[in-house]
Amino acid sequence: MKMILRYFISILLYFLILSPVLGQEGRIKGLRVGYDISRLALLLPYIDTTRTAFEVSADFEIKPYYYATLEYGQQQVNFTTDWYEYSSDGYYVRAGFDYNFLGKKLPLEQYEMLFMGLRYGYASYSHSAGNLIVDDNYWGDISVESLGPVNLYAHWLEIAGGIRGELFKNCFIGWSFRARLMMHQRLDEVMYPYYIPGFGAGNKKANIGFNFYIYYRIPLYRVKAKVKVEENLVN
Amino acid sequence: MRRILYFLIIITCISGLFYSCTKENYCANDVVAYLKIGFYTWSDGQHVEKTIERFSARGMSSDSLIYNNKSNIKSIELPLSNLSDTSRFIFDFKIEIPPVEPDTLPTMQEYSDTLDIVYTRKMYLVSPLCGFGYNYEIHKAYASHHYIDSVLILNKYVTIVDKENEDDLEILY
Repeated sequence: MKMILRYFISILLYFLILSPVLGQEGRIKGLRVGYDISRLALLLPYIDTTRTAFEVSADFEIKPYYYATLEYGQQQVNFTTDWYEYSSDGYYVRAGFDYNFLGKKLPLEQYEMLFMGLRYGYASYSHSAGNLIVDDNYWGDISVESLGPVNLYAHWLEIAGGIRGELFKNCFIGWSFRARLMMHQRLDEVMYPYYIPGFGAGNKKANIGFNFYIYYRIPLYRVKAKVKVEENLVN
Repeated sequence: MRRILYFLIIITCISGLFYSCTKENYCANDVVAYLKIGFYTWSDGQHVEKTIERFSARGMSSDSLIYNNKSNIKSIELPLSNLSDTSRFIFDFKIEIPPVEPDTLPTMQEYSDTLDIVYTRKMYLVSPLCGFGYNYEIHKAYASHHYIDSVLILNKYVTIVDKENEDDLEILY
């Protein structure tokens, strides 16, 4: 385990310290990893006390106007009402691409993005309920000890739109709005999910979402622009 | 870049406000699926609504009345028991008998009948705030025949979804 950790730290230090000197000119190419800080808002008491979640992402510039992107997250839900105790736990993955409208206009070493993208999302999760009481004023309330856990999944399509800007070298910040449309899901006939990880409210076929990311781009190599190369040849 | 950052902060605050404002904290749904029953009779070969002058109903093994001597009633709604897959109801009718001879008052005739419903229950979540409810699939409905002639199932699925007052069951007298 220690060896793996040492190896990992060495690689990280290499990318952070050494790799920027790989090339002095040209467009930096690298894997940009991000952390969604908007999920931290769930820790605040007045926003949503039922959920805890985190989300990370990785994207890679294939062309200045075209990025491949992958997002991963986890979410737990726990709450108690007058009628039952609910809990759910699961993960989600979204894969897709972003089209950067600024990509063809930006100077060689600028990486700002005004983008729209498409994602395919998949979530795998389970949920359960305990200490159920079914209200019945006439015949008398019913008590049910527990329901589940039931394993569920969901597939959806997602449109993303937002901005990203480079704050410092290789450090980015940005937000995106999401519109999600459910394609297919395994339904629990007794209890619909309160929240589908990565998708949103479990009783809706369409949801909107919001992400606020901070990113670090791990610089891997530099690409010189074709135009510049041609200019150099002429000179 | 500074403008972008300001924009980011404003957007985040607005989103947070939207999020915290859209939450409900009360139950706005009915969680009981009632069995809707219409009273009918045959008159001159026609299938017509029947008015019961006085009607009481209660569930078997329950002391509390669902209808207590309610007057001029044409249809009723009954809660099915979630404790088992059968419910028995006891109906008490007071029917006005028209006077046979002029200058005499109408008389009230009293009848009692039982109605048995056999069904399967399906529990489901109405909403986190309302909790769970039951939907029912009716398999059989039969009654004693002191005043009731027959019982007809019109709709075997009883749910909380409003069916625009369509009856699930029809009782003929």
